[in-house]
Amino acid sequence: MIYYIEYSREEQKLLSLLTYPESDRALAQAHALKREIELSRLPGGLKLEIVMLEADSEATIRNTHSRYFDNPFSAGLSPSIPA
Amino acid sequence: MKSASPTFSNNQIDKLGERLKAGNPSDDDLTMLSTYRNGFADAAKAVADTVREISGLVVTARSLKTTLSIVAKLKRDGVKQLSSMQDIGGCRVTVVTLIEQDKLVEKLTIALPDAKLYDRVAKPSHGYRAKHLVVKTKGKRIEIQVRTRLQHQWALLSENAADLFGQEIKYGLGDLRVVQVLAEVSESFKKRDELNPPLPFLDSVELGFENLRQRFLRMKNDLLH
Repeated sequence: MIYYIEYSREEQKLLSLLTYPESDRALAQAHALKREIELSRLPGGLKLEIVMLEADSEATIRNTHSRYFDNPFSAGLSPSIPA
Repeated sequence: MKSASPTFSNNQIDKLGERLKAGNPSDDDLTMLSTYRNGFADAAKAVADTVREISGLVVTARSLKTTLSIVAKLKRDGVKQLSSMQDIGGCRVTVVTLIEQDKLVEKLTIALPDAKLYDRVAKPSHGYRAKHLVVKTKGKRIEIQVRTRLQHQWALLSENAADLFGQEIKYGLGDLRVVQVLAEVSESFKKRDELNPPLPFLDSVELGFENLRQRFLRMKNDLLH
């Protein structure tokens, strides 16, 4: 699964979380580019992090990239699990 | 040989890097960067599959470096050329102990003999500890990060501090109080990682993360008022 994230570093806030199947990777990439161009045209330029992560589940990215979620330290303590 | 998208020459990529570094990238620049970056996705997936096969662990996530991070890295000293950036694509595995980390890195090095090891446990970078392997696959350099869970937690703490106080915090610059806290926590986690046998479980309360986060927020508030 592909997870598309918009994150404000200034506000430390997740603004958008969208999911795409891996078969729609090109669609996700196109959406990310469209948003980067839109945001870069705003006064001050691109300030948001536009992130695309590929993982088996949302629980995984909440563990590995917990800073994008509400409490950056609420997860992340688990090591990788057996495949 | 330097990595490059089949569509662009290294020279074109490096000129793109210069424009990104200068600021105010055009729509065409962002499109070119997106195309270049997306060219790493297949290689990153192939490497993640290999790491999963070798380690027997779920590879936690595959990601491509964000535009903000690429621009920040280009602006820092030491990374002059976009075409030579080694972590556009990568994946990460988290283990419990230093011994497990060493064993996994050894297995990966044997399976991927061309991989170059960057040992940031032996030589930490401003408190950051991990072992990175850079491997070339499908003409792209892909970074494999192997962290213990405490090294991973410190990295999260550092990212959190960087969001609050500026990305320079990660490189030992900026608010010295924050830099000092990160250095202390890094050293403390190193000592915990070296315990044998390792502690069976550490929760976020025990590690004092919420206290640290609140401390950072108070520092930030002090700066604003």
